[in-house]
Amino acid sequence: MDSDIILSVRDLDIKFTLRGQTLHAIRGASLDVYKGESLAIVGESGSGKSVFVKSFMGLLDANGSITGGEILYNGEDLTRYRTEKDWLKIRGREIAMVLQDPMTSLNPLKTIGKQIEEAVRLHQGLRGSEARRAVLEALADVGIDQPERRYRQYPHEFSGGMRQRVVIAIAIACRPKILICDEPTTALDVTIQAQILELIKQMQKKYHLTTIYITHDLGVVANVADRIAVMYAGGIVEIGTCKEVFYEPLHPYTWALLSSLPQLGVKGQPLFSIRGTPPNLFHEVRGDAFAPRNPQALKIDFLQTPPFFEVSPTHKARTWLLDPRAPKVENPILARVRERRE
Amino acid sequence: MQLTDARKKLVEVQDLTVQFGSKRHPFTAVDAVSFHIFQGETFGLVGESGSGKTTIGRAIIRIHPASGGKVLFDGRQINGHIPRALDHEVTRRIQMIFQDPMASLNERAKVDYIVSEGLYSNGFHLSKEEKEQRVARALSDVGLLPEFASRFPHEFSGGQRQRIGIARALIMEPDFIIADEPISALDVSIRAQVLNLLADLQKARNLTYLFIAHDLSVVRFICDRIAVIHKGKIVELAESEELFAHPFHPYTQALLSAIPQPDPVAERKKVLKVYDPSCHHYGPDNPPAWHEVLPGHFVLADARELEQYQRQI
Repeated sequence: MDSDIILSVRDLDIKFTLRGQTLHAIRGASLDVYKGESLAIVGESGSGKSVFVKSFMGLLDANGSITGGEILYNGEDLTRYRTEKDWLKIRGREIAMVLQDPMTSLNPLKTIGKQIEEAVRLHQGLRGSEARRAVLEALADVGIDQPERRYRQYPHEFSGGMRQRVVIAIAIACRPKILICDEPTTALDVTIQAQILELIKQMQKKYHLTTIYITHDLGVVANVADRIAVMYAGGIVEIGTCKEVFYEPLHPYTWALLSSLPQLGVKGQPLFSIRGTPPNLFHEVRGDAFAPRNPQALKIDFLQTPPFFEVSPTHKARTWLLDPRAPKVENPILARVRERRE
Repeated sequence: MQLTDARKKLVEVQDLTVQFGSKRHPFTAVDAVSFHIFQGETFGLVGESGSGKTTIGRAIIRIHPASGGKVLFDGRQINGHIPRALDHEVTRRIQMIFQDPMASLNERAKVDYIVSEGLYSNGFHLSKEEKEQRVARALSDVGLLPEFASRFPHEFSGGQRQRIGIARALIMEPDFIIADEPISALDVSIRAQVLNLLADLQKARNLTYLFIAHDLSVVRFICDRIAVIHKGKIVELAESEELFAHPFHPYTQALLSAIPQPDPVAERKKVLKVYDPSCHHYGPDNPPAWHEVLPGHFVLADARELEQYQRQI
């Protein structure tokens, strides 16, 4: 990766207070996002992936706050932003977001046209008939037929896939530099999912966007991501290029995520499932957070947090297995991934 | 193939039609669909939103009345007016698992009540102890602790809630379970647990499943036979490996091509097929009909398409 870094997160810590208890949601996560790339952040529910990216836009819930680290964007540290006015410089204009559920992210009482127009007015500074023309273009851009008719319609007249297209049109109308897609296709059918991913890819090319995908399904991102970051219990445990993560996964958690995909399952045999539940982040996590669920965990995994071990300039993982002193542990998923490739 | 045909048909659906809307402007959600499900098998019903797959499931369990056709369970017709005793029997023997475990459990009831509700309303006259015992057994069957009976649904994760949904079906000791997208709302890692649980229960109790889903990769994993449904009509039906090996109908091919593969190189080379119904030249003079292209592999096609499919074999 020789391109420039557009967003750099350093040792980010985010804590929430809930009924007097403190929940340590993000535990020292660091991440560099390169200009023009598409990065996927993969993890289970509760791994903190949504909270992590929401913090880039100042969208944390009121009981949450950034307690350490920095988020550098254009040389500015976003963690210092306090007021809504500060954040308005970033939201939409620099970083826009497509949320999971297109049923709830549109206003049911306003026409589709008006909702896109709002973004066009605010971010492109267009008025009247110019704004209207921009909206119609935006609708056609995301593959919606008969934009004139669709302009006057309400969200309930759209199917799920079409609504997600509208949400993407709104995000793009802000002309952002970074587009964050938070589970953009989870609520959609498989066929529609493929179309929406294709659309996001097109938009990325057309508007030179940097995209960040968030998903729990590794299968979805093979097509769209340049790099993949695997998140577990509020920290990034592995990061590498798409090929590296799929073909040479290093962290036991990545193995587990890959193994549980039904596409890689063998019919008639039980599907691999990760035992146990993610750690309770109200308590302090000691050692490797995944150790209690890892059947091959080493003793040290329970005692000391592993550092990142770099395997290649682009690929690193946080597991003691990569320490030169560690015993050789067979990677259970590798054989099946290779078998499939042949 | 002869062997499979000797198996007992537990559920038979014959020309099932379901219409919504008024008599004057009916909307046909399910259009003369026929299939059967053998005892002990898992039958997959795959299609997109709006294809009518859920409606078929709901018509079998009699949530929606059928506008035409017959549903036979264990050799007896169960749609329309049926005797009270049969109604009770069918209500017990056919159970359903719903898609969204966040929405399908009563938020204000304890797990104990949610799981045992079927026992109350179906005229089981059990003592309190017996009821408690059965709830505890149903919960431990799905891998939950019996202590959970006194908790509320919001205290559980998505996967655990879906287990509660399964326990609620199991407590009735059903023969046939309709699972309507039981794992779509769950995380990938949790999906595996729920799928394995369903497979284990099937083995232990000789259950028969109708598995409704939109994702063919999951369906392939769990189902013996798969029917692909589009706009209220079944377009292709085959054993699951066979369907993956020889998908004939363009809609099946489109669904297969949409499955995301966990393989970046293959995935980037992939050509996404989009199904366009206008590729068929059906008219009043050549309506599509149901043909057996290979043994046990059926497809909806007209004469010209049939010839084309047969050449592909």
